[in-house]
Amino acid sequence: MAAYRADAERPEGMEVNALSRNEGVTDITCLLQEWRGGDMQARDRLLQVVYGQVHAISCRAIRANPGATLSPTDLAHEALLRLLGKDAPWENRRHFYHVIALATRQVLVDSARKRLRNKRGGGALVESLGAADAAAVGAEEKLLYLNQAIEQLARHSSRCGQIVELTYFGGLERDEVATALDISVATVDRELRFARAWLKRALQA
Amino acid sequence: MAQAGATGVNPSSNKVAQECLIEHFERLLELPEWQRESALSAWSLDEAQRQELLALLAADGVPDALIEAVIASSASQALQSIVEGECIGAWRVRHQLGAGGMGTVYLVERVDGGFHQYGALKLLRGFPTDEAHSRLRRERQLLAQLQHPGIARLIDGGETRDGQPYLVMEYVDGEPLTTYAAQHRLSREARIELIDRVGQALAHAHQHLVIHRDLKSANVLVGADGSPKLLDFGVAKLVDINQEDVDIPTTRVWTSGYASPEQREGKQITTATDVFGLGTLLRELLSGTSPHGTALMPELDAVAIDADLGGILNMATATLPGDRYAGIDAFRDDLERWRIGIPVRAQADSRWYRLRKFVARHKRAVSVLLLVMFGLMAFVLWIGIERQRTARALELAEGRRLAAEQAAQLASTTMDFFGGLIEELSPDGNVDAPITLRRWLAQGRDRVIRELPDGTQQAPIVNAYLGTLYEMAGQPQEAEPLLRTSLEEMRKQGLDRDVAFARTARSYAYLLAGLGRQQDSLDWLQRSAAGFRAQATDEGLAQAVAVETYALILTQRYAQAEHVAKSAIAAAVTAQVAPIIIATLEDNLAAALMYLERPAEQLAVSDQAMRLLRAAGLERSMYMYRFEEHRGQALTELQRPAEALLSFDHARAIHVLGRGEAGSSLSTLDEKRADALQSLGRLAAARTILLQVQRREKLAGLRPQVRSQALLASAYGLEGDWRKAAAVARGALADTEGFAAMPGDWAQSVRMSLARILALAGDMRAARTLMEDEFSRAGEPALLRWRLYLAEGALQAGDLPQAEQDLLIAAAAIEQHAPSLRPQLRRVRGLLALAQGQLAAAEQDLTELPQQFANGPAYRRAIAQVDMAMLRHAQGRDEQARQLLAAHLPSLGEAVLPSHPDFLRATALAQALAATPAVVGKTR
Repeated sequence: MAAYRADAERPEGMEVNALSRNEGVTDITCLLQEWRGGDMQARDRLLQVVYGQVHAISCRAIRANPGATLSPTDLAHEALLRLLGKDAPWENRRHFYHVIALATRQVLVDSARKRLRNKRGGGALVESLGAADAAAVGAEEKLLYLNQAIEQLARHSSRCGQIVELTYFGGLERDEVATALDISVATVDRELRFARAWLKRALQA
Repeated sequence: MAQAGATGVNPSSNKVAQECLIEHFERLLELPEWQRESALSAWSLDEAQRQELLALLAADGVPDALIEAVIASSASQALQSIVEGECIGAWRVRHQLGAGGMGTVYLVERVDGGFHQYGALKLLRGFPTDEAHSRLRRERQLLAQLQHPGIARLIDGGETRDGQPYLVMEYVDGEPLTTYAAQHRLSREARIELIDRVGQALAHAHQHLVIHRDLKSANVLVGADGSPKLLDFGVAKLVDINQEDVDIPTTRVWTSGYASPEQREGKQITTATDVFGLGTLLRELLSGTSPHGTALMPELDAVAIDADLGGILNMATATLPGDRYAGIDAFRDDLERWRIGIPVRAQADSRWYRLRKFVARHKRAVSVLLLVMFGLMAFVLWIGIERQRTARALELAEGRRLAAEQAAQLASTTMDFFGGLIEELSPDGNVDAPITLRRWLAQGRDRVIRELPDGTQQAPIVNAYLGTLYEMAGQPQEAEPLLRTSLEEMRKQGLDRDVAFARTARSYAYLLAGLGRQQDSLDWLQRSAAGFRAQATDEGLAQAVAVETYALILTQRYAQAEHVAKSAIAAAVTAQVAPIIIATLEDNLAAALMYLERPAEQLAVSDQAMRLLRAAGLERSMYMYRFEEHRGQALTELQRPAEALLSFDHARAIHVLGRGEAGSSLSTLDEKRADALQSLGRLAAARTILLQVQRREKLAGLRPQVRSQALLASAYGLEGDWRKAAAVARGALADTEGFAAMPGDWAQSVRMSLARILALAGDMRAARTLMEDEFSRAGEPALLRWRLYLAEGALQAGDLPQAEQDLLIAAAAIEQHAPSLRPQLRRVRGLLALAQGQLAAAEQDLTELPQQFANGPAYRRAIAQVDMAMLRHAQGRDEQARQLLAAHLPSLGEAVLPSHPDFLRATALAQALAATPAVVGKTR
C-alpha cells in the first residue's frame, strides 16, 4: 500500500487534469447534483462513468500489491480524489460514496460471474447458496455467496445492506458511514455487528 | 430497543420478526454469555428464529477478516481477467504460466500467420501515463537489442485494448535454477559454473546498459541441455516506468530476500544491484537455502563454502554497492581465480592468506626465487666486505674508518633495497603475472628509479647488479643502459678502483662483445682489468688476467691467450686463490683452445675445471654450466655426439636451475643439442628442439635469430622437407638487420648454407644469385667452394652441363681451401658421373663413400649405400643393389620423411628391382 499512498499524496492538480480529459470534473459534479435532486437517471449515468474508473483503480491497486489484502477504502478514496479533487463539498462526496460502493461491488460481481462462466465452459451460473460443494468453492463462488448474502440482508434491513456496502465497497469509516446515512455512530456499530454476523454465517455455510 | 424486543414481538408479521431479529441479536450480545441461552428460550420465538439467532451468535465470534479476504481475493481474480483463447496483439493466450510481482504471465502462440511460435506474454501491472508510454517503448527497444544465448529474447511488445502494456518474451522450457541443481545433484563446481554462465549473460546485458534488477532462481531457467537462460531482463524497470507518473528514482519491483539494500531503500539502481543478485543466487545455490533462510529442497544439499568462496559471496553481497565487485566480470574473474586456486580478490586484505596461496601455487618457482634472492643478498653483503678489505689495504686509519662506515651503510641500504624488492615481488604484488626473472628485474629497476635517485652512492651499485642480472637473463638491451649509467656514475664518484666497478665493467664488456661492439668492449675490459689490479691482491690479479685473456680471445690472439691463461692458472693455484676465479681463467683457456681447434685439450681443461668446482662444492653453479658446455663442444668436435649430448643436457639443467627457461645462452645450448642429435641421426628430435627455441624466443618477444632460423631450415632439409626448409630460409634471408648484427664470417657461412637449402629445394636462381653476390662482395676464392651446392642442385634438377660446370669450379676451391668438404665433393662428382653414364668414374668416387661416412649417423651411412645401390644397378648388378637397399633403406626411412629425395630415389629403385615388399612399404 505504500506505493499507493504515495500516489494519493501527490499534488492533485495533475491528477484532476489527467482525468478531466476523459470524464470532466464538471460533468461529474452536475451528475451528482442531479442525482441529489432525485434524478435516478443521473445516478445511473454516474454509475456508468465511474464503473470504468473503478475498474482501472482496482486493477492498479491490486497489481501494485499482489497478495496484499485489498482495501476497498483505498479504492474509494482514490476514485474520489481522481474524480472530484480533494476539496469537493461533502454533499457531493456523500453521494459519490454511494456510487463508488455500488460500482465496486458491481465490478467484482460481474467479474466473478464472468470467470465462473469461463471456468464451467459457459454453463449456467450457480447462484443458489447451497448448490455448490462448499469444499470446492473458489474465490468467485465465495464472492457470489457474499453478494447474495448482502442482497438478502438488504431485503431484511435495507439500512444494514447500505452500511455493509459503504463499509466494504465504499471504503468509509464508521463515522463517515454514520454521516452518509444520517444516523448515529452507535447505530452503525450495532447494525454492522449484526450484518457481519449475517455475512459470516452465510460464508461459513 | 431491548425492551421493545423483550415485550413486543409479533410473530404474525414476518417483516416485524425480521426486524426484531436485529434487536434480539443486540439484546443477546448485551447479556453475559451464560445467560444468553436461557434468555433465548424465555423469549417467545419460533424454533427457526431461535436457530437463526444461535447461528448468528456463533458467526459473531468469527474474525471479520473473513469478509475482507473474500472481497480481496475476488478483486485480485477480477484483474486477471484475461482468459484462454483471448487474443492480445498477434498472440492467442493458451494458459496462464504464473503470476508474480511483475504481473501475470501467459503462454501464448502467434496467430498472425507466418510462422508458428510460442512466447511468454507478460502483462505489466498498472496503466502508464503518456510520458511513461514513450519511455516504455524506448526501454523495449533497448531490451530487444539484447541478443545472447543466456538471455530470453524480447519478441514483441505493445498494449492491450485497455491500454495495459505487455511484453512477449521467448518461451523457455526449463527448470528454475535451484530445481535444476537439485534434480541433477550438481556438484559445487557445477553450480558455480552455472552461476558463471548466468554472469556471462549479465555482463552482456550490462555492456548494453541493461540491468536485470530482479535476479532470482525463478528467473533463471535451465534447459535440458544444461544451459541457463535469464528471464525478465529489465522487466522490473518497465514495470517501474509503467507505474511512475513522475520521474522519481525509486524502484518498487523487487522480490523480498533477493532485493539489494539499495532497492529496498529506493535508491539508485546500478549494475552493482545485479552483482548483489547474482551473489545471492550463488549463495542460495551453494547453501541449498533460500534467502529467507528456509531449506529449498532435500535434493539440493549444502556444499562446503570455504573461506575464499565465503569471501567472494560476502563481497558480492556487500551492503554498500561500492564495496561489491566493480562489475559482473570482476565477480566472475574471482570465481575463476577460486576455481584454479589463485588468491581471490575478495580476500585481498589478508596478506598471509595470499602468501599461502602463492606458495601453494608456485612451490617450485618460489623456492628457486628465494634461492636467487638469498644469493643476491649474500652478494650484496659481499660487496661490503670487499670494500672493508680495500680499506684495510689502504692502511690508513682514517681511510679505513671512513671506508668501513661507508661499507656498512652501503650494505645496509642495499639490503634494505633488496628487502623491499623481495616484498614487492612477494605475493602481495601482482600475483597474476608469471614469476619470471624478467618481471623481477623490471620491478627492481622501477624501484631503483623510485627509491634511489641519481647521485646517491648506492644507485650505481644496485644498477650494476640489476644490469648484470639482465645480462645473465639474456636481455642485453635492458642491461646495457643500466650498466653504462652505473659505470659512469661510479667513475664520477671516483670508484673506478673499486672491485664493484671492475666487476661491472667486466659484465658490461661481455655484453658489448655480444652486441658486436668489439672496440667498446675492449676499452671496458681494460678498465675492468685496471680495477681488479688496483686491489693488489692475488685474487684481484688473477681476475685481471682473466679479463685480459678474454680481450686476447676477442682480438683472435688465441695462442697468446692460451699462454697467459696457463701461467695465470698456475700462479692462482699456488696462491690458493678462490676456485671461482681459477675457474674463470680455465673458462678462458678452454675458449682459446676451442678456437685453436684443439678439442682434446679443451676437453681436458674442462674436466679439470669441473673437478675443481666439484671439490669446492660448486657442482651446480653457473661455472659448472660453462664447462659442461665446453665439454660438449669439444666432444662434438671429437665426433662423440652421444657424450656431447649428455654434457649439453647437463649444462642445460644447470642453466634452467640458475637462470630459468629463457635467455640467449639457453638458445645457443639448445642449438648445440640439436646439432648433436642430428649427428646421432635423430633428425625429428633435433627439429623439435629448434622449433621450441623459436617459440620460446617469440614468447619472450624476441625476433627469431637468423642463426636459429638457418638451423631450423637445415633441420627441415635434412629430414627431406625442402618446402618448409626453403620457406624458413627465405624468412631468415629477409632479416638484413639480423645479418648485419652478426660477425662477418658467420653471416657468410649462414648465407651460404641458406643458399644450399634453396638450391636443393629447387630454387636454383635464388641460390646462384646469393652465391655470386657473396663472391663479388668478399672476392675470396675460397667462397667458390660453395658452388658445390649449386652443382648438387643442378644435378638434382637434371641439368647435367650446369652441374658439371659448377662442380669444376667448386672442386678447385675445395682442394685448395676446404679439404673437409672432400667427401661431399666426391659424392656429387660420383653421382654426376653416374648420371652421365660414366660408370668407372662413378665407381671410383662412390665406393669410397660408405667408409667416409662410417662415423656418421645411420641415415647418412644409408644414403651412401643407396648411392652405391644406384651404381650397382647401373652396372647391372641388381642383386647387390637389392641387398644394399634391403640392408639400409629401413634406417633411412626411420630418420627422414617419406618425401626426402634420397628416400624417394631409393624406394623407386627398390620397386624397380622388386625388392622385398617390407622395404617398399616402409613409411613413417
